[in-house]
Amino acid sequence: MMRWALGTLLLMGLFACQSSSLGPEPTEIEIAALAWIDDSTDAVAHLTQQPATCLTTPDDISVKRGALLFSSPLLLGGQAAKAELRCAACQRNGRGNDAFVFTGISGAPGTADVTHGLFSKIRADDVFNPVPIPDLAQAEGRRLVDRDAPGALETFLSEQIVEEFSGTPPEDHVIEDLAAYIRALDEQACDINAIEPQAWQSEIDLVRVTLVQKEYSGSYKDAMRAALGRIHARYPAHPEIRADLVALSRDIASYADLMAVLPALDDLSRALSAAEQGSLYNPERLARALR
Amino acid sequence: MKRALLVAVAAIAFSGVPAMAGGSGSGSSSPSSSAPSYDPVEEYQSGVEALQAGEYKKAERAFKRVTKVAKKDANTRYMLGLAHLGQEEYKAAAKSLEKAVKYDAKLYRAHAKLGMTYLKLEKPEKADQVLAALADASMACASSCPESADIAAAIAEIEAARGSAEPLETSSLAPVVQQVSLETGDVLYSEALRLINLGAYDEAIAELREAGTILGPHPDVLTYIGFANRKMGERETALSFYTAALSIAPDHLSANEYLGEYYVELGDLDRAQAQLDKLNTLCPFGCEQTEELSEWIANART
Repeated sequence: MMRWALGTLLLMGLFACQSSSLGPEPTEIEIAALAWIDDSTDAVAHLTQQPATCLTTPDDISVKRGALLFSSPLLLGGQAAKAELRCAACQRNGRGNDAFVFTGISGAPGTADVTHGLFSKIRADDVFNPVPIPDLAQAEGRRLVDRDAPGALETFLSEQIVEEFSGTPPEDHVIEDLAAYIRALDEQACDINAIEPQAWQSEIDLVRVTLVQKEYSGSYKDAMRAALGRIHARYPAHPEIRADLVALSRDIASYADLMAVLPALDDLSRALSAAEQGSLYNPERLARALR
Repeated sequence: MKRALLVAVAAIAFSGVPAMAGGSGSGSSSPSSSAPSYDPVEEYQSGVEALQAGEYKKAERAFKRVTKVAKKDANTRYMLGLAHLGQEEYKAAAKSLEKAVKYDAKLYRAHAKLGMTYLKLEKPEKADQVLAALADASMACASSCPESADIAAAIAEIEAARGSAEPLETSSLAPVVQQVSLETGDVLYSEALRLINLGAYDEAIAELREAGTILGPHPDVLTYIGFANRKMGERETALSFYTAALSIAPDHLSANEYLGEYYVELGDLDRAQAQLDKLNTLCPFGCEQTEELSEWIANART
């Protein structure tokens, strides 16, 4: 009897320790991508994993900046941006998204009507004609535009942003970085069927790379702040980390020399790492939160 | 996750279209998916379910709870009127339906039920007033507006009862509320945002009104009814809908943005700036609503 009671106490103590290090269970999930998942999809897997990175030059600085911009809602403008949609919502990690469903825009999961007037009137055609979302690393995605013809991909991307969505015409260097990212997407660079975890580290890596460039247009600042926002959504049980993320985002918005925020980014990385198990990057934690 | 619903925007997304609308301060794409933080929507939908089940007292209680928050929501007043009709409480029904048509003169199904209720109450002169109002609307509409079929149906229903020698049967006033999925409301909302993008504001308002009947007083829907009215020059109407949306969801991003734009149009840049300051607080990681209102204010100052 005594041993049973002692065991129970020990278990309770262990549980209490674990709970306090993980933080309280979140009661509300703010992950934007949750709104675009087909009901039949395993949400936990979808929100904690993604198609493998398929980049021929993953360490190229321009490719990394392009990857960050690819996840920036404000690049698209209009209703898409208001819904926090971004290029990477459809092309996760530059690949595809079989689970994508957006009311009024999608037919079957994984499709979108790219000429729907909801996002832009320029290409609106009054016909509901959703098409499968292509994987940009595979032939279906590479066929969209000749990536080798000089300027063709750049023109295509600029028109997508302005005409398919309601974005303002991006600066040339923004388009150059996006184009570098798209050109680097190639199925030969990975196991095409592999998956990898979604992680705050990759978001922070892209922010860090973008911070150290010398000239910042608004688009890069927007993209960095959006990345911090996505991490913020994954740490609902850690108010101090969240406050640091908000402070960093505001500093990025207001500072002229962003190198000044690098120490804060280092501190933040350490805090994110220490609290990772309690974040919604942890599938078990996310599964409990989704129940 | 999308259940069978909501809009858009919005957004409202919305937001997610209107998920697109950025509803409830989030970027949800559709109103139904952002509803959990918004009690009046749940109350409204439970009231509709009760009406469909013939549980009129329960429906009445639900709609009355909604009116405590969404005081001037015409759909809720209409539904409350139906709940009273189901209980054969005709005076109370007339009172609710009068408010419904007062808060939204284009909710013609409410006009129809009001006219019929007046006949039941043996007040034919009041039913005639309803008919006259509908005739005026029909003239103004000239069969070309999105509501022309609703107007014609309302006139036909009241005239048929008015012309009958027999007393109006109770069954003719029994509420009939069709079962419609929340997803239908979301699709209507999405379609409305598409129409707004194309500048078809009248048609958009009709879609939003229909979405509101299904979804209830959702802030995404209210915001875009306000937006479409503002684009048509109906600023006071727009303000009333923005106010209604913000009374339900004070942090609604798009409602705050469009209220700021409304102030810019009035030349009240101090108030517009206050809206922008609020949005900056609500969007620590940036948002489209802040970007757009910033641009409006900057343009007004140059």
